[in-house]
Amino acid sequence: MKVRVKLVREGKDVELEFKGKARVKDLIHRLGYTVEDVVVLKNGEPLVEDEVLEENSEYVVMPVASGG
Amino acid sequence: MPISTTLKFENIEFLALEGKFMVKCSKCSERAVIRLRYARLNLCKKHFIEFIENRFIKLSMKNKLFEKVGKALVAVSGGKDSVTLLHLMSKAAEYFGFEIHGLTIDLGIGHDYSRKSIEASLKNFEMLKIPYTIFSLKKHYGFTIDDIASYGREAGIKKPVCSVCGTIKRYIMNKVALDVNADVIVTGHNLDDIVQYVLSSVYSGRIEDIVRLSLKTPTRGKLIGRAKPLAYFSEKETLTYVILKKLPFNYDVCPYYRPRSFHEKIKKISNELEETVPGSKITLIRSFLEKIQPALEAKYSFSTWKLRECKLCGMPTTGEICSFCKIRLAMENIVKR
Repeated sequence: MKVRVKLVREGKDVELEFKGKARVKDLIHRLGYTVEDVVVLKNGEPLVEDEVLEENSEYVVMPVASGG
Repeated sequence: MPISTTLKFENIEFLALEGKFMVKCSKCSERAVIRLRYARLNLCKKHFIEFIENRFIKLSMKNKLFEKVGKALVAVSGGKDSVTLLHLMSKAAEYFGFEIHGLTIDLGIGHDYSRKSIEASLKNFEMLKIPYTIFSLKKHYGFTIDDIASYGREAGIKKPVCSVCGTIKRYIMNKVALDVNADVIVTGHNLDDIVQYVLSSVYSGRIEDIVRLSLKTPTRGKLIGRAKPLAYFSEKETLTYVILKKLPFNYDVCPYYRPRSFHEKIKKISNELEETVPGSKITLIRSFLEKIQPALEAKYSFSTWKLRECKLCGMPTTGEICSFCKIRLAMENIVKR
């Protein structure tokens, strides 16, 4: 299953592929983050990490650290 | 209205709507937008905002943050934490019956950083109808943080730019607090900042830094007391709050920020632990502030350092000339040239 991911801080888009069903937390972990490190949005609404990813959907990943 | 049903899987309640499964709010039948692991709750937009606002009031009350406060100065950088703080302080002001005054410092940081910070802060002050001060470093003292970064070393300033910026901000916050007659200065330090501070101080054995950490410090003469009411709120909560309330905020990273790998790793480890042991960050800070810090404070008395007035500006300092005046004098010579 493929999803599109917008990495806001890095300013780039990537495509991620998962074997079978995957959840938001799988996407977070694949990117090397913990669930506390980021907010994941779909259509502008934040998602709980247990939500199931939908094929060909776009997810926006916003790191929570402000770096300061 | 489409028909929805709920089902439980791995102890999480899901909402089945139009063939899709969504995590259900623990308090109503709406879709949850955040899981608060420490509270064992999944919350929808409405209940999350309500939860954060009520928790802010409860924690402020429990920690007696605003007792005998007539006016609080809220320091706003325009980032997610201080914007959240301003909105929560506006609720607290109404609840406890005190006044608030907003402060944004124009530090003169390029790459649009200061411009965006001020713009976001202004929008929030105006939205909440809060009186505010925009304090320009350049206008008052003739130099900016960009000047410090470019010429500071030449001027004899040895400290890194972030540390100098911290000194400048603390000085201006205190100055403005005195000008507007505020009894307390409120800053947006969050749970993650404090976890990082505590752990790195423990690793390096900086006892005086540990002893100094407190949710609130009392006013001592001209040194206005400080409070950190976001100490039990994580960065994930503050970012979610500004997103859900659609508040203007500056998401840019300060161009002078250099990640210090050790600090970053501490953050990473504490968040990994939080994922497997929910509530561990709050537990650490609670144990620290309620048990370890008071025990250390009883043994060491750094906080009772004698304060005197700076020979040049009259502001409180431990030496003859305050750290801010030292920076100002060094930069004056450079700017004059």
